[in-house]
Amino acid sequence: MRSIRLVAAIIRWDVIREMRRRDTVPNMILFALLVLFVAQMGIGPDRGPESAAGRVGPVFFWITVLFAGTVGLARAFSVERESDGLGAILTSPADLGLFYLAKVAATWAYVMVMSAAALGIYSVLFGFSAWGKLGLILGAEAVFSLAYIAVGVVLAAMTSSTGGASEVLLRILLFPMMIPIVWLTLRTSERLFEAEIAGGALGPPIRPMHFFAAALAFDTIYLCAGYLLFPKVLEE
Amino acid sequence: MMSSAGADGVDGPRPALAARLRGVRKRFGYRDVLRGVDLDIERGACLAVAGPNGAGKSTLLRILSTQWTATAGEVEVLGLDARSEPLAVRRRVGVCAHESFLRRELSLEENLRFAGDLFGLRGKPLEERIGRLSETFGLAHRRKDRVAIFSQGMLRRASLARSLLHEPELWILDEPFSGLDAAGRDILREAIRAFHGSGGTVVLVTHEAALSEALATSTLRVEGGLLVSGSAGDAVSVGGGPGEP
Repeated sequence: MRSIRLVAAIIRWDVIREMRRRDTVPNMILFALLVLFVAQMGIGPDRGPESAAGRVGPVFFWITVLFAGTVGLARAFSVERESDGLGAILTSPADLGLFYLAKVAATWAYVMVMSAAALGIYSVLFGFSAWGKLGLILGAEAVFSLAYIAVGVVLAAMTSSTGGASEVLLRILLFPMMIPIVWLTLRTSERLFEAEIAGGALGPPIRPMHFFAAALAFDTIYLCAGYLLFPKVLEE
Repeated sequence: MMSSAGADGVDGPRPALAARLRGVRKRFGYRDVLRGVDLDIERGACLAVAGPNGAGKSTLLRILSTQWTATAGEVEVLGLDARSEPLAVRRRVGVCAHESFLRRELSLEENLRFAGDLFGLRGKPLEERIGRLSETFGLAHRRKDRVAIFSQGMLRRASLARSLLHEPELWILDEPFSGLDAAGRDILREAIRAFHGSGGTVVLVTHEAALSEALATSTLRVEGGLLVSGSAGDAVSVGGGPGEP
């Protein structure tokens, strides 16, 4: 009970801080808007499952969610370093594993706001119309985002002390680890977006339920590993 | 004004020593910052630590407060092993470091509430402590203001208030007088005396000899990662030898 209260308190103060700073979520949404806008300009006006928009649109969508999310990830710890906030945690009896879970939850909430906005932007720019799959797509965003945030929070804590290189380092370390979950997400996106991605070159699509089972397994493994590793990373 | 009983009311006999260090080394890369430190600090002592910049004073304090772990050696704080029980140590130690440990986007009161959440403090006792500490450090009229607009001296006062919120038994202060105006220095001197008077142990890094003489029951000098001298008082005993090359 005390652990839940502590996690809830850390999330609450993190959200209050974000609402006052108003920089993480707007930055991510602006980034998503720019990427999708530029991509749409390159693809042209054709729509439909076999058009260029249908073949590569979902790919751009997931890349946008991943790249924009890393903007938020990098902010998660640079803010702590800038404002001496980590010292408050490191001199308190708060379990660092619980702090990790709270940080993941808060960052995930910001990324989900961005992901929902990105889906709105995508629907306008790419003519997305499979609204019957909206719940599944949001669910896919949730499990996909959780995977890279679970790993990314640990990496962001590691790289945040490297100054100006921290965001570059974060991406270099994070993206290779995300290849399996990105591949899974793209393979199920043909069903979710009712599109033929890359002309079927990725192989047969994965049924959404199989995707969710595999993605949740990734999420669980990443969260457990992060929970165990994070205190070691942050201690010094 | 400030109790040294500890926030969580830990039961059992109180150890005679507030801290016990044996053969403590701290290495960063190829550089030994602490080179085999032996130190006993008795409960109820007010120890002033002096020494040149880069001598290892702040490292010593960070190891005592479990922010850093020693590369080698034994560290016991308030009878607890710092390596295996860091959270229990932190519950009973208050730290005011160079950094304020305050979130700039929050007000002083919110920062103290956040600290209260981290230490498991809630309700009326927390409200009372926030009110009392804001008053003690002359910040009662600014407790609703965001600390982003605080001056350096006010940040220091806020940080001091934060470090006492959980009523620690050991108060660790790293150059706490820097940035304080005359009134702030008087307030802090009084706070240290009150904390020490109520049985608390103080470890204080300062470069000001006059302050050491006025406040401390024992003094210690650190040079090149070694404790080179201690006072004649019986509240602290020191030792240590040259580290391995």
